[in-house]
Amino acid sequence: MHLTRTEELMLKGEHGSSIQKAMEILVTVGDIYKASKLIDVSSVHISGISYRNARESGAKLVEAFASSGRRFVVPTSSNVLGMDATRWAELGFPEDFVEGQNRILRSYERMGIVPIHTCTPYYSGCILRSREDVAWAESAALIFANSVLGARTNRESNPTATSSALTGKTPLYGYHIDENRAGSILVDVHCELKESSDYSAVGFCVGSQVGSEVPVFLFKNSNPNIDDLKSLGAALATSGEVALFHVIGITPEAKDQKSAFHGDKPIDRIRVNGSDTRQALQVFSSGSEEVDHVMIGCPHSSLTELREAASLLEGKRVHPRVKMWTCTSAAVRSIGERNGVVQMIEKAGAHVVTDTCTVNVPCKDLGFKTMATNSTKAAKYCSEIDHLNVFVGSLKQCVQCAIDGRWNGSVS
Amino acid sequence: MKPLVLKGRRVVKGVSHGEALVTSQRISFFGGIDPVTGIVVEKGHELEGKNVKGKVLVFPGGKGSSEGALKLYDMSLRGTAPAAIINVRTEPVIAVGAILGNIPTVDSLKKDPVKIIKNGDFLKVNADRGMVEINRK
Repeated sequence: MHLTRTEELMLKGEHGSSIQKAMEILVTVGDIYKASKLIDVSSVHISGISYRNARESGAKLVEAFASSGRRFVVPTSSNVLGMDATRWAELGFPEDFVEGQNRILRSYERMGIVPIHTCTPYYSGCILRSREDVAWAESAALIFANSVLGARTNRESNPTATSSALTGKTPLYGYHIDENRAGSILVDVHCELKESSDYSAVGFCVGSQVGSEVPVFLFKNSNPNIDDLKSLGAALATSGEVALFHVIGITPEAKDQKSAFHGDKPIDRIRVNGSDTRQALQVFSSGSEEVDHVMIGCPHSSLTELREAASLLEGKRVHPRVKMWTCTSAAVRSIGERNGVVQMIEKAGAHVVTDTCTVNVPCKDLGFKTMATNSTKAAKYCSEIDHLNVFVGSLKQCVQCAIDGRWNGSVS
Repeated sequence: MKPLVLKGRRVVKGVSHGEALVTSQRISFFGGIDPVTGIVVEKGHELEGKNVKGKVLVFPGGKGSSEGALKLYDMSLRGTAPAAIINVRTEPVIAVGAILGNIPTVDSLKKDPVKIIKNGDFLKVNADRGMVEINRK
């Protein structure tokens, strides 16, 4: 890979040990993927900050990066933490966990992180233009940046994103290059999708079939909104390695089928109907059972989704056994407080949790055993990591479950 | 039986050896494997219940959360990581975890490793040269 004179010096350690470590990581990745050079990035989003997931190894790594006193050279935002940064005591987080999380956070703060603490940076003012080269981690955020915003990022992880934030560089390979952004598999979705949980189910079903290909969706009977696209992407990136998708007539690189495939024919074609998505959800729990936790907002809720939850909860009361979390960013919550949506949710006995979600918290300490959610991503990770018993359904089903204190019936 | 040698591409340098653990399914190191024990916990995965610790793990490539890189690094610090990784194609999340954890990693072999290599084969991996030696019992 060609390096400029300055980049060579950074790699040799002339700019300090943290810049050297960052360059070693970027150059190694660049060599693996046959990058011709490094390019500038204008935005970075860093995941792996949650203490629950980063643990001591993640803490050590970020402390090493922060030790030389270098600061991020491009705007760099934070993904979710392992706790609500303001309401942790009220929500029952143990103090040693809070201390561990704050230690990690202080290292990022020393380097100048923009503390949005969310997996939906685009709902907190971190928006990108099309064709902008960036380095975003968090599989649900980066697939949105690539697909819906038309920006360009590879599947970055905590170490590569931190390296890009310190150097302002990323290797030129993968989705930064035009021809790699062509769609490859056509996905015909025949069933009518009514809400974001339906898109989450379709994404989960398709992701496991397409691996690392670029799926191109043709929604015959549905018109996805921005929250639906967010849910679709998060699910594709959970069951598959997908970092980019197109939706014909909707996303910026898919004006029509021809442009989505860059003039080529699809290498494969998948048809999705209602029975396929129901089958994909069979890995989760079914039947009727008592529930102690309901989680909405994976990825983090928009203001529209908070309002939907609030209207379903109006005049109702969450069952005393159930902790219902509506997860979002601090930015969206503060607007939700201004227009009274947050108060409506809290009046019903539910929480509007910021900076985190159930996938990133110490579930055992919080006493969660059986949960309901409208997100296949949350369902998969919570069932695998915390061995929670998880029910998946629509927002309406989840709210009803929070009120009843039990899940009634199988997936609709 | 004479060992079979396959040539591929070095992803992460290093030399290692161990018993092969093979799957035709993708792996997420975030959620899919318990980093404390090294046991695969993803429901319905071909390797569910199997331990990857010290094995040469042969799989098509990664999937799922970008947190997987830190998890693989975490496993190497805990001593529960695989001894080496052989992929059909290594994606960046696995590659970066392997770089930080110093786990020798090879991909793009001349033949599909998932089909050629069987569970229990003894593998010598020289990632520096992109070589995998397969010894069948």
